[in-house]
This record gives sequence, structure tokens and C-alpha cells, in this order.
Amino acid sequence: MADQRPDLLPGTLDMLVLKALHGGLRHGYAIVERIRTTSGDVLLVEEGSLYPALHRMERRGWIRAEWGLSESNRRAKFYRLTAAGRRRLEEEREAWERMSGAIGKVLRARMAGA
Amino acid sequence: MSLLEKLGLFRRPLDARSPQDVEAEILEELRFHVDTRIENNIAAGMDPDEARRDAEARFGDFDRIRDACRWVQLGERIMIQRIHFALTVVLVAALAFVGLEFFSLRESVHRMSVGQGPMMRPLFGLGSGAEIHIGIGDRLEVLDFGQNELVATEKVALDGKVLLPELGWVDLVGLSREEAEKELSERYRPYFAHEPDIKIRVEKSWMLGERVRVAGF
Repeated sequence: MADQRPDLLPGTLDMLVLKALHGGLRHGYAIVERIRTTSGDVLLVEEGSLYPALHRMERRGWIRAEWGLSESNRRAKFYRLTAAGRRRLEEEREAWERMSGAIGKVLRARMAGA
Repeated sequence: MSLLEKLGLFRRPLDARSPQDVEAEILEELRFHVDTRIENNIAAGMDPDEARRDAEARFGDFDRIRDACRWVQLGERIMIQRIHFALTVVLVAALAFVGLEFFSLRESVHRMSVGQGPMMRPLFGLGSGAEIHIGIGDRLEVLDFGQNELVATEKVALDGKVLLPELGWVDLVGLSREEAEKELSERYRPYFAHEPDIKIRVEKSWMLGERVRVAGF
């Protein structure tokens, strides 16, 4: 399964997680599913690797954690975006759009020259 | 912004939870994820064994991920503990060194008092031709040669002075051994019933801890 996943640029996971939390409170499993479904099953986050990233972002103050009850009535740790996290998401989004736009230009230039 | 701040550490006060609580929460959170995946796999039609295998494969190396989370949450404390441990080792070593120096000095004084130590050797037998100048950190053994009595064993302090009985702080740095002996003989005259004949044994000491025993008296 891992071989089928395209590699993402470093830092992309943070942006995807912040975006997934933009819609509200979610636990880790729900974040993975949110990214998978909204990307049309294209982006499959390596599930375990999500958690060190979540804890790191929590310590940086981008997200805040709290314990609550899941849909199955089991204790789960939920995350929500903070104001610092929203600002970070905007910065990440702008950087991503700049980069993807630049890559697009390169690709189009190659095709035009071919 | 420091490197540690860039890495996301030291941005907020230490977590008030105990390390055991933090680890228990990490375990509970990761277990919740794997169990939820298993439940959803079963709900999607997988048999339980297949559902577990799939959930574990999707999750990755559970122990490695738990350790990574633990490091993010507790790394700051772990670093502080390591620094604390290193400082403790250094302090214990320093205390041990000071203790050994102290007992070595006591042993030396004891040997001299029972007539077995270097004080009973021929006083001018070693290096009598070399001129020794007294410096900071040198250890001095001051002897009333006429009575064969130890007056004091002291180190020259950082300000260049030596604390001697009756005389108090005396500045001897820069003097040759002979000059210092004359100086002290002169100064001790009012305190002795006989004519003082002060001799000094100088043990040179270097700041880096290397000690070379130079000619005594």
C-alpha cells in the first residue's frame, strides 16, 4: 500500500492536518478520514505518523487538545485549531500555491518547447 | 529565536502532568485509533483477523510511533533530566577530588608529625641549586627548622596571599623561596622565644591541575 502513495513535499502533512481541523473539532482517526475523503481517496496519510505531528503542532500552539467522547462513546483525544494555527494554515496555503504555481509554469514551458 | 524555539521546544511552561500520565494518554490515543480502524474494517465486511492486520499495517510501527510521541511530549523534560544527571556527576567528581586533596593533606601533616614524612629528609638534599619562586596556587609547608616544627601547610590564594598563624595574610607571590624564608623568619621573630629559622617547602601547582613537585628544602 505504501508504494502506491505518492510522496508529498515536506511540511505538507501539517497543512493538510490544519486544514482538516479548520472545519472543527476532530480526533486523529477522523483527521485521517477527512483528508482521505476530501482528496477523493488520493491522499492516504500514514496513520501512525499523524500523531507525532499532532503533538508537535500542539506544542507549537497551532492546535489545542482535549479529551472527549467519540461517536462510539469511547474516550478520545480531540484537536481544535487555535488562532495561531489559522494564521499558520494561511501561510502554508500561500506558500503551497506559490510553489504549485511555479511548478505548473515549469511544466507548461516544457510542453510548449517540446 | 533560538534553535530550541524553532524546534517548538521551550515555548511554554513544562507540562504539569506526570510522565506516567503523559505516556498513558499517548497509549490510549494510539490504541483508540487502531481499535477504531479495526471496528470500521469489520463493519466494512472484513473478518476480525484481517481487520486487525489491515489496521496495524496502516498504522505503522506502533512502538516507534509511541516513542516519537513520547519524545515530542517529554523530550524537554528528558533533556533537563540528562543535564541534571551530567551536572550531578560533575559535582560528585569535584567533591571527590576536593575530599581526596583534603585527606592527602591530612596524611602529609600526620606523617610529618610522627617523623616519617618528607620533613625528616635531608632538607637541602633535593634541588637546592634551583631557584623557586612562589606563585598562586602553590602549596607551602612552613617549618621552624630550628625546632623542627611545622608552622603551617597552606596554599597560596588567588590574590597571592597565604594565611599563616600569628601573621594573618602574608603576600609571598613573586618572592624566591629563600627571600620568603627570610621574610617569614623576620616576621616571626616577635612571636618566637628563640631565633626563628623558617624553611619553606614549595609544591608548585598549575591551574590546569597538573602538579609538578619542584625542589623542596
